[in-house]
Amino acid sequence: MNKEIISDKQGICLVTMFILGSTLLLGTGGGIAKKDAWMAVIVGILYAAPVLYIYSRLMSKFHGHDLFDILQLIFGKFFGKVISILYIWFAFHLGSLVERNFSDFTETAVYPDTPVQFPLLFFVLLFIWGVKLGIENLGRWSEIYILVVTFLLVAVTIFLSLPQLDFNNIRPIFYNGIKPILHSGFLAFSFPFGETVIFLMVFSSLKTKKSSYKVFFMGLIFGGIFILIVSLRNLLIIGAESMSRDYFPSYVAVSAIKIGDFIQRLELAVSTVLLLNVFIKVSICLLAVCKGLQKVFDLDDYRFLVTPMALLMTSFSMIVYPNIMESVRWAFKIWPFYAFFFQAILPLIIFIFGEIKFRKVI
Amino acid sequence: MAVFGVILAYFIIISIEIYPIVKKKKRKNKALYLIAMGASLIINLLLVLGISIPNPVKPIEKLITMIFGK
Repeated sequence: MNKEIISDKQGICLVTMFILGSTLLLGTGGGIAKKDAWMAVIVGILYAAPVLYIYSRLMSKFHGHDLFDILQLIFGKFFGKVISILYIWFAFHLGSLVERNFSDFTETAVYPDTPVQFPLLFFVLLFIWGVKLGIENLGRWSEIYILVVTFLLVAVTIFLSLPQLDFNNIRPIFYNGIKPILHSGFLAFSFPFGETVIFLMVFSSLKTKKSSYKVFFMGLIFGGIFILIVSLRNLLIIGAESMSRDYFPSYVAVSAIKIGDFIQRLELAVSTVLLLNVFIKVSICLLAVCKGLQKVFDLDDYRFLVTPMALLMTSFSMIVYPNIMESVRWAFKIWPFYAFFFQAILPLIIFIFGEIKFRKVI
Repeated sequence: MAVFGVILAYFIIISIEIYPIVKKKKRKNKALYLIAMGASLIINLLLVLGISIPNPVKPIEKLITMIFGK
């Protein structure tokens, strides 16, 4: 079996794009923190730091293994496989939710009259191709396209929206007290930052023992800063009220940009950034599912499973919610608590058992 | 018509992908591939025919609301 290696830079780009994922579109916190929503992002990063330390410690202690190997090493064959199946389900579910966000977006905002299956079809073909080529190619791809994302985000968000910014939208700060900020920070932790647990399942190919710390933390910082910029921009342009009312605040905020008569309708930038990030997010989830099935069934390759799993994920994304209201409600009401189990509790248990059982190594 | 289209699409995909799997002579691979493809074919056919499929996420939602309230 050939061993795939990705460099630290590629890893950082992957984590950053994964964190940006669908968050850029949906926003974080579900409008609980109102005018302090931007502070909730910082709180979310602070919550995420210790959890990401656990992830990187696991990855560096068992260097060259992914989560499924680690589970089988620590809990033995049977229990390891049971927990592996739980994690496969989580990756599968996350992938289909992100696909659902994408199809909701195309259906409500971009192509209202086109059947939703049609844009999805081309998308699915693309990530089947991407995942079949493996993580090395995805890494190289993200290394290039992160430049596009950064350019569009920084250029459109900061420079072009300067005339629209209204600083009264975030004043007074701490108006509702600290509690909504902490709650919203928890939501921000579980929606973009904690989802990096998926990377435990695919990062068996990092270069050195030290690189996992660098990859996870630099990815968290870059992704966090981008999300902070985006939520500040949304707040400053459209205000807290309509930010909690709209399904896609970024889209509304950017469409307000108008400079003279010729720079306007820049929503395309949002769609492009979303498309690139969602591609990485769904591909990583799909890769995690296929690698997990490979480890659980003791197969020699994962590539032949990619097409059926991608198709299953897509059809699952069609039935998972009846409509977009349900999907937004799920994302902010149910998902954080459900995901917390996979993002923090299970990794903590694995971490403690791993530290006790393999005390001698490192 | 749509049902026919779905079946045709799956037939094409399987006929392209099955050859390298069969060549490897591993029964487990072939069985897994066909089971997964069959499952997604059935779900897609039900979707096309407009038959409502039980949502597997509902039990999770019930569990979460049972534990955390609301």
